Amino acid sequence: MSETVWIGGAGMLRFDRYEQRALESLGAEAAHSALDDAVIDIHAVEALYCGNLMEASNTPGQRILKQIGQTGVPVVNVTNACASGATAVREAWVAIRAGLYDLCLVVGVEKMGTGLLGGGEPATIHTEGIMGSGLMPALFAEAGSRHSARYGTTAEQFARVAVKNHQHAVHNSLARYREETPLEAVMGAEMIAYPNTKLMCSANVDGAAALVLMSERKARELGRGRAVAIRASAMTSDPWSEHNPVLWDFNTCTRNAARQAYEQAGVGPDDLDLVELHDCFATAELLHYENLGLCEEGGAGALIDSGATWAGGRIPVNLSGGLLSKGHPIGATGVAGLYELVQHLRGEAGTRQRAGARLGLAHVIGLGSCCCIHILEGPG
Amino acid sequence: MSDPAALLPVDPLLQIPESGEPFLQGSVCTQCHTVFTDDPRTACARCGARNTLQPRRLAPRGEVLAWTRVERSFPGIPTPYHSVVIALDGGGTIKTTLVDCDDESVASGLRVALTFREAPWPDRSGNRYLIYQVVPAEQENER
Repeated sequence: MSETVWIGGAGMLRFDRYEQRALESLGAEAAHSALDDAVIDIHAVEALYCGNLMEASNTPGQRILKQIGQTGVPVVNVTNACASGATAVREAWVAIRAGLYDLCLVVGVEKMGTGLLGGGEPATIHTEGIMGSGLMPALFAEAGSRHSARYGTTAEQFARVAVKNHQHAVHNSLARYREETPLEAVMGAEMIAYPNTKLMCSANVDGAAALVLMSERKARELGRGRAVAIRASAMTSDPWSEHNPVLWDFNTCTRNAARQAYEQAGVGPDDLDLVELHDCFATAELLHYENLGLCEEGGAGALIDSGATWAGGRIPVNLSGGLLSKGHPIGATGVAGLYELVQHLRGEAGTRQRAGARLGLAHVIGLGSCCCIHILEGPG
Repeated sequence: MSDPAALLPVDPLLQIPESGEPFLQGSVCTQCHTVFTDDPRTACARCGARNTLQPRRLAPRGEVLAWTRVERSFPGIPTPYHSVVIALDGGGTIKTTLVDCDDESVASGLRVALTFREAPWPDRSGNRYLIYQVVPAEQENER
């Protein structure tokens, strides 16, 4: 029962504003793309897992199935903040490992609204501004300030994340924003929450991505040629830590999930060829360099300065352009990170290709919190 | 400002006595001694013990743990403002706005003291609230 689960197909829409299209239309298109990539049709799918946040109470998975073939198979709608998509992948992985199904379709999809994320309905009065900030750019800026205080990380170093990821996205036709942004442009952009400027924040866009997961048996039956192995799937929530969640701690849960994932896969961070991590805001990416063990404690600033995490470097991070370039349609993001890894591991990533990519790690964080990490190995 | 006793507390931490200064009160787990600032709480989040939480008066001073300066907020919210996370002396973590402080002085480690003010806006029913913010602490001997 504990055999390898394979990704046999992957599909993704270009992230963009799709005002005229319904959620299920986006999800259906991504689903077809993944099914076609796996060279199967909807009748081979034994269960559908749908990652989505904002319409989670309105059966998004079933609405997608109604667009592409109402086969009556189980549909699970999965929500876990910004980790919804990756959680949906994990749930399919769990079910296949348990022997329930041989082939599952996972669709991550979201239509975002406009405006800043953060805050909710108050019990008494709105306190935004008068009693601190609950806005997402501010929360991640606060986390960055800790890193600066401890290690002297500069605003320039945080800004460099946006320079890098926007440059990577020039090679990704599925990203919403594909223009290079030199350092002066990033630092000179409108300040949202210091040090995060507008170009250091992921955008609200709509999007969908999908994967076909299959058991060892199914992969052998269909021919394993382009299938990518899931070597690890790990998930954590945020354990108690002193200041969490007044100061959201997304570091501990990431470290815990990373340790579990590396152990499951029998590899270490030095074995990775590429990483897709959760750069919802530029400040977050540097913290995750250390959380994922890509460098030593406090070394994140030096790592981005060294070029190691850029295309062509020792450990390229967010070759897709990251959330900063693709945008962050919440339910789709986690699936899209895995889609990106699959392209590289098959040698099909075009001008973004990490040469000789064999092992990749995908990481997402959902505030509240959830960390979900997958490690994939290519057909080689 | 109106007499604090005539205002409602913005959250469950804020205590407004009939006379005397307002103060913050969280809870402490008598089993593992962890201090919480998210009352009301069902059980201890650290050790899981039940029926061990007792009220704990929080210190009126602490230090900045993390901060940002928000320059773009929801429509209608005046900017900029400094959102800060404060580690209160003796335990408890709160988030609020740092006021009466010049930009250059805002930094992790800055010593601060609580200040209690009337909220600039009421709730939908017109009720007025007392809120708590922080100001830089005077340089003085710590006890």
